[in-house]
Amino acid sequence: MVSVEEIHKRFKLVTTEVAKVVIGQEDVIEQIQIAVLCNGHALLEGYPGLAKTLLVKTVSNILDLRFSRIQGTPDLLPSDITGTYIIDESKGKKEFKFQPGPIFANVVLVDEVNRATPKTHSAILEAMQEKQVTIGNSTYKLEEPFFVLATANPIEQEGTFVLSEAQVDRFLFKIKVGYPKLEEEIEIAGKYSEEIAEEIKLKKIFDKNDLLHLQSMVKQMPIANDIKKYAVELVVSTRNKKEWIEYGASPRASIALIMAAKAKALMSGRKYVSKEDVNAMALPVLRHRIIPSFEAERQNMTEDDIILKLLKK
Amino acid sequence: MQIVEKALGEIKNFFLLLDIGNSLLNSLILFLVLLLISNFSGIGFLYPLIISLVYFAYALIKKHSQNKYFEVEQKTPSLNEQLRTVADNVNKTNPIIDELKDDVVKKMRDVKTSNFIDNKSLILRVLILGGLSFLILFLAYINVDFTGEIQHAIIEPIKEIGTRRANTQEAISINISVTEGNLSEILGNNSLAKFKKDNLQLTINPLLSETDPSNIGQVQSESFTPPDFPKEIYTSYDVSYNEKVAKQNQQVVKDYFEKINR
Repeated sequence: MVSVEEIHKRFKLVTTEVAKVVIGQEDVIEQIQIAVLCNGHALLEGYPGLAKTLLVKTVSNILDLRFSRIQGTPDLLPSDITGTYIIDESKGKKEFKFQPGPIFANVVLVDEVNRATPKTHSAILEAMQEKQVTIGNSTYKLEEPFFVLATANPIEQEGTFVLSEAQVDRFLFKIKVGYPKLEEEIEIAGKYSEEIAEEIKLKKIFDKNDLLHLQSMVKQMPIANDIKKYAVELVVSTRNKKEWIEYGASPRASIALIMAAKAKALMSGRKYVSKEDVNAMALPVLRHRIIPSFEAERQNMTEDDIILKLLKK
Repeated sequence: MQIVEKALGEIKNFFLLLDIGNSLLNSLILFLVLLLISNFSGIGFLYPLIISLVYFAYALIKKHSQNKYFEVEQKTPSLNEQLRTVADNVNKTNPIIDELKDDVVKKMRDVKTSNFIDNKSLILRVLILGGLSFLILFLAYINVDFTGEIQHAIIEPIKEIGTRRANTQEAISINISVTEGNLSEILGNNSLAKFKKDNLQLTINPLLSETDPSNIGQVQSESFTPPDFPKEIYTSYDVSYNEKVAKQNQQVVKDYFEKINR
């Protein structure tokens, strides 16, 4: 068995390797890794041109995972994602053959998920939840580890289909991708005006089996009862703060918060979960699971502001 | 039993003893303070004892219900959050927990029991305890009793208010008065005549008496049968009396009896 310290060192190496391609965005890189460790999915929200696709591609490359990309459009059909039966004439006779869609990968990037129709959303979300797809009478299991990373553009909302609260709840994290700092942007501009990202050589730090083993290790991570209680109380408080929150987070959020805190502890090389881990994971776990009240919106409070206020209490 | 279980058990036992000691010391201080007050007010020692015992039980339960591992972690930062995690997962086994248990056992060597005893507070409480004990003994020795003063200053005005409000009961006072005269032989002790018509106040010292002034019960009615008195009383001159009276006084005695016989 790999020791916790060794895991920490290897995750540091992952960060170093990603940093060869993506400059800055350390929090986003860490949260994507945690989502992979928790066997969860993440919704990435950020403006165009912030290296979201590049980041996901790089991470999947370093983790030695099969990567595929789906572009969300209004005419995207569920069969375009899951795959369909085609007529195969290669053996001299016509027979139906299943042609797997892009969902059959380890890391699936669904770009601009809110541009796809609700029917397509359902197909993606079913695959996320069940880790299998059903076409006709046949059910196909998706390969583990399976990780969906969907991006959503916070601007240009016209002609989009906003994901419902129930659908959004299935994402472990909502990760906000911000603009890089000035120094970072200068470095990005300098680097990519001289070389191509795909040409940068990256080391493979983990493989699929390592990741599956790490996912089981996350579940084994011990947590003190009072820290578990603290995490659950934080989630419950989102349901009780009616002045700021119209709808609070579900018990699924409690599970997600504890799992994420465990994964963060493992990545940090600790054998126990700290209260700080819970606090650090509160924003990505809860921000898409609460609906601010009219009063909160009137006060220009965002989801993050509300969660930070709850953390201070 | 695992080493970590033994270590956790030791911590629990140590804190139990510490809690008992602290609660006992605080309860003793409370008991002595209440006893001092009860001596002044004449409440009796049973109430302070009951109150102190109740406080002892409450303080012990409250202190013992607190998370002791958290206290250890506060005094030993290297164990922060790890001791609680191990204590809550002591019955589970997997590679991570086992490693954590080993780490915690190693770090528990840094835990010193002396860190949890507050010497300043302990000395202060022992001093208070000694001071209170001395005060109680000293007051008992010089027989200081403020019962009357407290009665006069606090209880009587309260009673007066009560009487005024009720306005149904009449105040009853018992006066024992002694009249002056040549009755020293009848009354016995001549010094009692000095009281004249003043009230005689009788005070019972609770420390020197088995009587408990605080124990006031209902008045029991006693049946009283008067003795069989003669219907008529008369005096007569007895010649034999003259034999014992000097001759020059016999007329005086005779006059006296005739006078009272009228």
